[in-house]
Amino acid sequence: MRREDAWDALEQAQDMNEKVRPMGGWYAFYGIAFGMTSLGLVLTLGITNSAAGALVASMVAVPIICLLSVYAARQPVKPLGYGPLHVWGIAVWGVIYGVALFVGMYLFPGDLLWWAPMAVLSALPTTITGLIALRRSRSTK
Amino acid sequence: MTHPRVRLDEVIHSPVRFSVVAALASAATIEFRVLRDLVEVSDSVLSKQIATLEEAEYVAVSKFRVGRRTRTSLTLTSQGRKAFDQHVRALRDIADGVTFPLPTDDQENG
Repeated sequence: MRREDAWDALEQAQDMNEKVRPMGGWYAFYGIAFGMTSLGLVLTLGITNSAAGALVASMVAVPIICLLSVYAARQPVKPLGYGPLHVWGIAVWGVIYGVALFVGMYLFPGDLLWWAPMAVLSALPTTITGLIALRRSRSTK
Repeated sequence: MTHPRVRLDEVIHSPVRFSVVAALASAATIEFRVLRDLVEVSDSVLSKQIATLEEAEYVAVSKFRVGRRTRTSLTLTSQGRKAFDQHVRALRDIADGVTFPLPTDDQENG
């Protein structure tokens, strides 16, 4: 193999990398949309502090999360590190969501000073993983 | 002196397979139809090259259903990623005109 051929091959690999990486950028939308849904859900649950409020919040949030799951499953290109990133985001969200709900229900019912920060906190894990995926999709390294 | 061409991977060296592996190295998984369009080959050509890569254990193939359709998803295995990285390093060395000294008997025997 000549040096020119090696350069051509390296350039070809770089071109492919630049084409493929942006295709994983969809995960940013997924992560941020999931985070915003969680923010709305936790905030509504906390502020309304009633069974009717919980029902309405769930009726809105559950279909959105189902649609997001279908959207993610249908994507033809999964970004680099997708598995660990997704598991980390959902696992951390699950812990924060659980703590927000159980501690909030028993100790801070209807207390905005608990529910508002916890709603923001619950939006962070998947928003962060979404932004990581976005940064990776724009990187060429 | 030894030329870096000896470190090129025989399986990845083919132009179509090189493109396939380069694409798969840039993502976690890629569906067959998207990879076909990226590499710009026909279904049959891609299937043949994927079979070779699968035989070398460089690519893992999984099938799943979305609605009524069965989709094929392709992933570069850790072995495939390692082979690709080594192949790219060899290409860089060739491009840079790097050669390495052959190991002496003392080095070979530790």
